[in-house]
Amino acid sequence: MIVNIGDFNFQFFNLPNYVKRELYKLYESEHRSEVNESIDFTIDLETSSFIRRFFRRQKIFMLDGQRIFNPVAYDKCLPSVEWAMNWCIGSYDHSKILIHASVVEKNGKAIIFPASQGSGKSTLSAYLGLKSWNLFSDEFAVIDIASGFVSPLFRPASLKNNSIDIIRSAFPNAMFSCVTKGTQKGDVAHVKTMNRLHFNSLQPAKIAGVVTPKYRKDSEVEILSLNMTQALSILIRNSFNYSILGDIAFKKLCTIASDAEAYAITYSDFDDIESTLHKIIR
Amino acid sequence: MKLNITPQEIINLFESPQLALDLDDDKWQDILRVLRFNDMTATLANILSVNNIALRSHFALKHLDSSSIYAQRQAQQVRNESYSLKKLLSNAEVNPIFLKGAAYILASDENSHGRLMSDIDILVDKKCLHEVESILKSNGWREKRLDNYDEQYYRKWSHELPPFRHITSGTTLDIHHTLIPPITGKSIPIESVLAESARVDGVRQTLSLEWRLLHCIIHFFFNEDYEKPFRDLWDLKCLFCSLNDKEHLEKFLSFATALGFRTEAIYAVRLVELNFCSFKEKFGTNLDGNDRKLSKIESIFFNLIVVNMAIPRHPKLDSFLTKFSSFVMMIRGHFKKMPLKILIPHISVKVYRGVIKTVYGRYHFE
Repeated sequence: MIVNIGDFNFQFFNLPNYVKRELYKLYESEHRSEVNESIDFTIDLETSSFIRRFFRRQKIFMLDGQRIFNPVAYDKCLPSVEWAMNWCIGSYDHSKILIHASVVEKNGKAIIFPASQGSGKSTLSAYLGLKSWNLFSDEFAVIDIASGFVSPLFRPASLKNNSIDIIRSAFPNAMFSCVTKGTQKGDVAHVKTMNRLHFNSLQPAKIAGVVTPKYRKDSEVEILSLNMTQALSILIRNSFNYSILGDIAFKKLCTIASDAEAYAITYSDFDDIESTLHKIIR
Repeated sequence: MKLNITPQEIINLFESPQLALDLDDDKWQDILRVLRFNDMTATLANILSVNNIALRSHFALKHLDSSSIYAQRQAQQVRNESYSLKKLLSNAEVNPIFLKGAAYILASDENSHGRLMSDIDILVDKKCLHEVESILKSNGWREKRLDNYDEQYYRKWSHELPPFRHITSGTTLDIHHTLIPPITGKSIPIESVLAESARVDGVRQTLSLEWRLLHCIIHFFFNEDYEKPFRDLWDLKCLFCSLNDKEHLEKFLSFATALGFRTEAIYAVRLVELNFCSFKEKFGTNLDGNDRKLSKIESIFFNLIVVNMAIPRHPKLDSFLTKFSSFVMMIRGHFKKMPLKILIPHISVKVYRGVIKTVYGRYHFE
């Protein structure tokens, strides 16, 4: 089965049928015939032994002889498919600057949320993606080294634990994948924020804002303005391949940090933070 | 689904990079998979760039350029780390000689361009081992925990220091006091290795070209891991082709023979001669020359096993013969590197673990 996420094509072999069904829904892979490009990464889900095909079934994600992570229980493979794709991009694509961040865009201007796990960035970006923003990615800011523009990826937003119910109650009509319970990151589900037709109309965008969000229950919105040095250090700290790209990445990230507005925002209400974000892309 | 490429086509690309111009993206797709498996993507990227081959395939370029960026950064790290190590150890008047990948980079050998490696190897005088250990430990290096049973076992009886890992840079360092485990029955006069080592930049030292080549041959034929032999084959080709001329090659073969590695050196020459025209162009062919004769058994072993093992590998490319050959080489490697009293308990454990893995899955012990 082939999964196209925009700039990359993945091919999967031996996926469990339930995973295939979910991926068809999330990636509209039936439209694959329109994608004539070559396969960047071929991932084979091998079984670990003959007996393990019947008893406590597990799958091993292999990329050209490399095991991507520890064996995964058969019924927990769906999030691992997403993580395997992230791993391939993060490990092998050094033609772009990759920042661990979610990216939302509106009116040709992008805001990136580089933040550590558990900051609520995925929930926030899923929320914005399901409203009037375009969710470019909830994992990578893929930044072109020459232009400094960030590119969109065709990926669903990933949700964990409580966020699943929060987003489901706010957007009951959105298309959710099944929930995979008890993964190493807890319960995981994915939600589709746009269809492929809409994705195809998106263009790379200039980074207008660098925002580190922090969800705190019942808090008022607190906005702390960050200077260029702080913004730069946040970008560098969250970059996957800054140390590999070296000086070209440093120069480009300096430009981004000096051109973009940067804030640390604490929030409890999505609408409050959204109005702040609107000011950045004004 | 088998890949739509042959090992020979991959080898040809390394020899005649202009062939890359005729490849379509479907072919590139499979070639890149094989290169990725063999850790050779950046090596090919470099060969194409040195030969000014301007590919039209954006798909291939994207992957080749990415791998090249990664390899260049790693080479820079090796230069940097080797400089720091040299400085650190020279405080105790220990002179580390850089081996393998790090040596190729410091000596700017042809095979170093785009070559990836997992650790830095150094050779130090056996007398200095404890001193080296204590200096490293008080300067940010820590013993690396070995998860792998085979590795633990090997270290235990070979009495080498465990590998070290630097706490901030993450570099892994392997410390050797010899170029071949004594158990093989062969020994190498380390004093002359140290004395003949080449100063590459006024500061750091690597093995001299002849010793680099001999060490590469030893590493290739006294090994038990033959999963990715193509990189070693390319190392051999590049190092052989760095010898000045035929006379230099003959001198090298006498040098290897004098040290007891005649058979391995001839295997290596033949292997490179068979696979790479540039070797023949430089040194002429002399496969059956009197001084390069192999015994009947050695010939059969070479033609049936070595030739079929030392090619670009990939699970979706390997023929039965290739898998069989590399299995034989693996078994042979174990016998060469371990005495029976060590090998027998080792094999028993391996058989036991094999049975358990069949039941519980391949990665049960990890």
